[in-house]
Amino acid sequence: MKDKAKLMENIWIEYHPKLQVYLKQILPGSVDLEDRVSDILVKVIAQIDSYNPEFALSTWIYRIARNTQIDEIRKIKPIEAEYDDEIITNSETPEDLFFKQYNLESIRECIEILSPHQRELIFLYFYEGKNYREISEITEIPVGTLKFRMSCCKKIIKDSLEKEHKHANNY
Amino acid sequence: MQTTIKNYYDLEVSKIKAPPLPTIITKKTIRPWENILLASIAIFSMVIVYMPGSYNSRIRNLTISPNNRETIKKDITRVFQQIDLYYSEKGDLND
Repeated sequence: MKDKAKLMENIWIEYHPKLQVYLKQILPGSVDLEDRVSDILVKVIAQIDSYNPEFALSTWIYRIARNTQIDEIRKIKPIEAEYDDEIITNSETPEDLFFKQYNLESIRECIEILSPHQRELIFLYFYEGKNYREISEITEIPVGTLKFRMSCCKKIIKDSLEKEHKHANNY
Repeated sequence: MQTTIKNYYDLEVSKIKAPPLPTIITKKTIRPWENILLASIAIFSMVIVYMPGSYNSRIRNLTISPNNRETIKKDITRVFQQIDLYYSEKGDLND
């Protein structure tokens, strides 16, 4: 009982800020994120007995958060497809050295130009360190599609940074 | 790329502090074994009450013999007379 209370507290403290940032990726400009995340975490804690340890706890929590958020959106309006799948690109991995020359402000600007779905993918992949299979568990999107979208995201970020770099050099 | 983006999100997450844990979460809820215990107590109480030899059963099955009937009638009548007397005296005092 005491361990469970501690676990609940840990979940609350650790995931409240993370989920706020995560939901901000999915729904930029949304208000009352703190209340919304509190509702989600109360739901998570209420369902803690149904958690399957086969999956990572964070995967399970993000999945609940995402589904809850989608339900909320559906109540307001039908979901619109916002994927930029038409961008065709070769799978390429930008080098770390390339990114090191840019500060976090530049990264923020690049991330902001991405669509909510792309930002969600970037957050889960780079921040949470989730692999494609886990992201697929959370988002219910096939792994192949996720890989393709990730290559698009990387290209957009790289192009944006290069553009900014050239622009800065001109002045 | 991973490090840079992770650093960015680390910074974003670190800006946010979790609000206090709501009391609804910390409040003790009834566990399944407590439900079983409560149900057992309820069933046990009902068995005690409805058991053939129990006081309640004896009261329900009480029969008044014809000999006692008159005595009981007199007793009850006396009780009502006492009540009438009590309230009539009280009414006089209030006046």
